[in-house]
Amino acid sequence: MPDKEKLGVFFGCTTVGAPHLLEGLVGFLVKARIDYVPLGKDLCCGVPLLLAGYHREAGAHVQRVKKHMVEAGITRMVTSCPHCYLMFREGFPNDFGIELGFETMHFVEFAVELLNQGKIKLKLHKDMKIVYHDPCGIGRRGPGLHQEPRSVLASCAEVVEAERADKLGTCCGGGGLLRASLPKLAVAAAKRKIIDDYLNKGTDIIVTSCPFCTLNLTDGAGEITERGFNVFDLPMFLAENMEEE
Amino acid sequence: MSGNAKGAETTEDINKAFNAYKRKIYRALKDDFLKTALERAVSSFRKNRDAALAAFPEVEGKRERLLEIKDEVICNLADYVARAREALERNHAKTYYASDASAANEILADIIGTGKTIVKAKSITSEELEFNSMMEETGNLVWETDLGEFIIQLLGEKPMHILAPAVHVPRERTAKVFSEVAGREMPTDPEKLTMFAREFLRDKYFSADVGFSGANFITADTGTMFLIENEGNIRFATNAPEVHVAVIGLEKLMPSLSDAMLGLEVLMRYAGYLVTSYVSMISGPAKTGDIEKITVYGAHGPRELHVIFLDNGRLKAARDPDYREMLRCLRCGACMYECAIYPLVSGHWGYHYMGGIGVPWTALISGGLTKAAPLAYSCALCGRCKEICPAGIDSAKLIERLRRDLKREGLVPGFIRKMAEAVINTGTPYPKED
Repeated sequence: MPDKEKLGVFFGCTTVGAPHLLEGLVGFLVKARIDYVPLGKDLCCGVPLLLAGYHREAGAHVQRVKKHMVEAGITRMVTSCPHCYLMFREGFPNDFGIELGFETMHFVEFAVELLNQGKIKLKLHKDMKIVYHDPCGIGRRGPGLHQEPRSVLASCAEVVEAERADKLGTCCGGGGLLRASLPKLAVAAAKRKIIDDYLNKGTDIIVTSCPFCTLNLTDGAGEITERGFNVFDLPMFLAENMEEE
Repeated sequence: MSGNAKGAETTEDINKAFNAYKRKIYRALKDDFLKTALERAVSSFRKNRDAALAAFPEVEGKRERLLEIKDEVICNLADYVARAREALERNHAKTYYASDASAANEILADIIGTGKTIVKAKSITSEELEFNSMMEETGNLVWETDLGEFIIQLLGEKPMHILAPAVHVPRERTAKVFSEVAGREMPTDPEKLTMFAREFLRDKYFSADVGFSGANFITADTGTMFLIENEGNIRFATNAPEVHVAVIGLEKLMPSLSDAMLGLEVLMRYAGYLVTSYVSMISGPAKTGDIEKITVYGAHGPRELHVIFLDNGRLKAARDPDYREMLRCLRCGACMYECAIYPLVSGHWGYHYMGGIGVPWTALISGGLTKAAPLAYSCALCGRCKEICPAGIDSAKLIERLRRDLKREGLVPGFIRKMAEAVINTGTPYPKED
């Protein structure tokens, strides 16, 4: 065990590419007074290469990513992107035989830890209702983090459930490079999901823990005329709803 | 180098194909008829399936047992085909092996010939052969007898769901096309529309020369095909004409009658039925020995039964450790109803096979890599279908694997290639523009 933790935060290209997502994550880290080494601001984890079928090229790319991380000398890493998370946890060792030698956490796990340790505290909103959208990457495709994000949100407001949630939660339509290949189809999927699952839940706040879900649900919500929705990535939401000391 | 020139051509072709596909998908997104019909279909499917699974909770255990059986069969397909053929021949049926669609069509041409009328049961496998147009080209007349297929045939369209071919057609459109055939105004009442189809098709069964069908399962021990249905058209089509011809994909093989019964239960429940109205089990032509124990074939049912086993890429898929999973598909259609993408565009996302599972089926069985390439980029890879599928097929994983094959063959659409090259050259898919 190293004496002192050196925490890396891997930003991921989707968060870096969307100013409000980046602002939300950085805002959280500042407010929570997290000491961290920023990583992946100009370097992709390699997932898009795998999703495009460029397996061989991804093999060379991940060596660059590994070097970037090893040079940073971190002992633990957090990322808010489920796809980066899965890449480090599963893709690196299973597809490329790379052991990073430190643990990678998803932001949801990190938030649970900070709350449990009393390092952050959320403002209590008595009348606020939130619906949580399960991203596939940390849900059914990954470690099944369904209760954890809900428990974080429940310390702040009432969490209401869609009929289909958790492992069977319907997809936002934003993954698998669909936002690149058929953006209108991706957004139509998000719109349909919100109408089917969230329109009659008595809330206009959707929180999720994936930059792709956040962007796609935001675009889908933008096409709904019946009601406006506010879609948050978890870091953004926590940054806005944290007690400041 | 000529290799490069060919590569460039392929890239251009794939971009053209992708752009045409994109236009089609975006048109479908604007189709209000489609939207209405799919919304109705998805919501009734969900209700029915929940009810069927709640009424028979033990189906979950049966599903697991079925998977073990199917996986064993997939690993020994050739052996099971040989056993099923032997059993059928013993039962006085004629059997054939078609390595691909054109071989199957040659066999069909030999059996059916020309100038015949064919009554046809719903069969997605027959789409691989483009059966209807092949038969019409050789001077035959085909009547689709499944109500959904009949509607599609009259509309001149293609099936948009493996179980519910006319899933995208709302009653208003059906009434319109039936009115044209009937020469009088038809109401939009589903009952009246169904009665019209019933009357229209009734005498076709008895005047037809050939009945054509697929099968949901076929057993290796007895050569028995299982045909599951609700409408009763399959019973007529496979029973009234003198000749019954069946084309059966190799993945439909089951070791024994009791295994097929297990498959039957699982398939019905996951397709949203407590029980279907009919299951026909056909093992040979009709026969009698009632006059002096002398066997005469063609008592009341067909005199001849011809069974064509269709490979068309299945054996190759079965040998691949990733792709073999797709042969588990029971065609319950649940993955398509429950998909985030499919209900928005229906079978426009597909070729003969549709939706996520349809992508590897298009690539390996019916269509080929070029047809599959645009389809492979329509999936959000969310993996929800794996949770829904009774056979646990991970279509997202199969599509990821396919994208690797597409890359190797130079069939990556331009914008995907650009993004990948940006990662390779600059480290990120969104390089800063300065």
